[in-house]
Amino acid sequence: MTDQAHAVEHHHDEEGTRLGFWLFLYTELFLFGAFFLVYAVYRSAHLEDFKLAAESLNTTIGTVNTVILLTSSLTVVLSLDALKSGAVKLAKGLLLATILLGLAFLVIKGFEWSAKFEHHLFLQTASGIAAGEGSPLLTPGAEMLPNGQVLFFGLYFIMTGTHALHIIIGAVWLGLVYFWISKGSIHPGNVGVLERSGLYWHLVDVIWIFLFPLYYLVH
Amino acid sequence: MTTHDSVFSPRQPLIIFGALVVLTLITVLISGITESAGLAIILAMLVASVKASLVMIFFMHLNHEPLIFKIFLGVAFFTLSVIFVLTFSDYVFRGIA
Repeated sequence: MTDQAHAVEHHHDEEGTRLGFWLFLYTELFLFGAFFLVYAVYRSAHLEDFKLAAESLNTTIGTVNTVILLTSSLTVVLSLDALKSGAVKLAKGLLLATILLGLAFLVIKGFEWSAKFEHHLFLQTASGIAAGEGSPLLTPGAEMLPNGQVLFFGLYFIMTGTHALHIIIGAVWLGLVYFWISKGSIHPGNVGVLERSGLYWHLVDVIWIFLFPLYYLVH
Repeated sequence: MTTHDSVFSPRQPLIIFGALVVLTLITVLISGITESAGLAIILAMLVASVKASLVMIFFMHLNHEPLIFKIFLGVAFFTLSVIFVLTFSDYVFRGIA
């Protein structure tokens, strides 16, 4: 093998890798895009039910969780900057902060979800409602939860659930990056993996930026 | 972003973060000002788009990426918007809206 061929074989194209990762992020965009489309269609068909159901979500909790995720985006971007500048310890601290903020988001989301479980608002089916398992609490005097509100809460659980799954995946990935920095395989001269896990984390934040107003503010 | 000997300076990320928090508070505060559901969702999506752009440009460093990254982003959003427009035109045309 010539030296040149050898060099080509070991050449690692950071920019190409990053571009490829952005392509993966666009597949995520289309996954959530499909959810947003379903939300938009059902919302326009059940406007009053969606507004009423959205009022049952706690805006303060939603706002706090939004700020938590925004802060975690800040810490992960600072972690990357710190590692690039050689401040390994600072980078690790900021990475740990990002993971903890992600966990705080999940804990708050968990409390929110369990409150909805208690009101039997979790993924109701038409047959379940007919069997009396539905919750009539949102519309005073109503026999059962209207279809539009069933759809709202179904979408709420599926969309925030898929989002929470991404938070879990992102937090595990960042945890691995933390471990790899400790081991020394990710270092100031090799930040690609931290950069890509950060991009993933930011994308999850971007999706939440749209989920937040659609569920907590528009009512 | 290939410089490894850059100096750690949190100034710009902190400014962007501050703008994101302010925009979050603004979108919460203005959510109740209009009775029109259509206008409310347009305002909310407008603020969300500004926030998402700030995250993508500055936190995801699109401002430092070559042109091809921006073209890809444009194509992705264009395709998504085509799907939205076509679905909604079909939906409205069927008269179920």
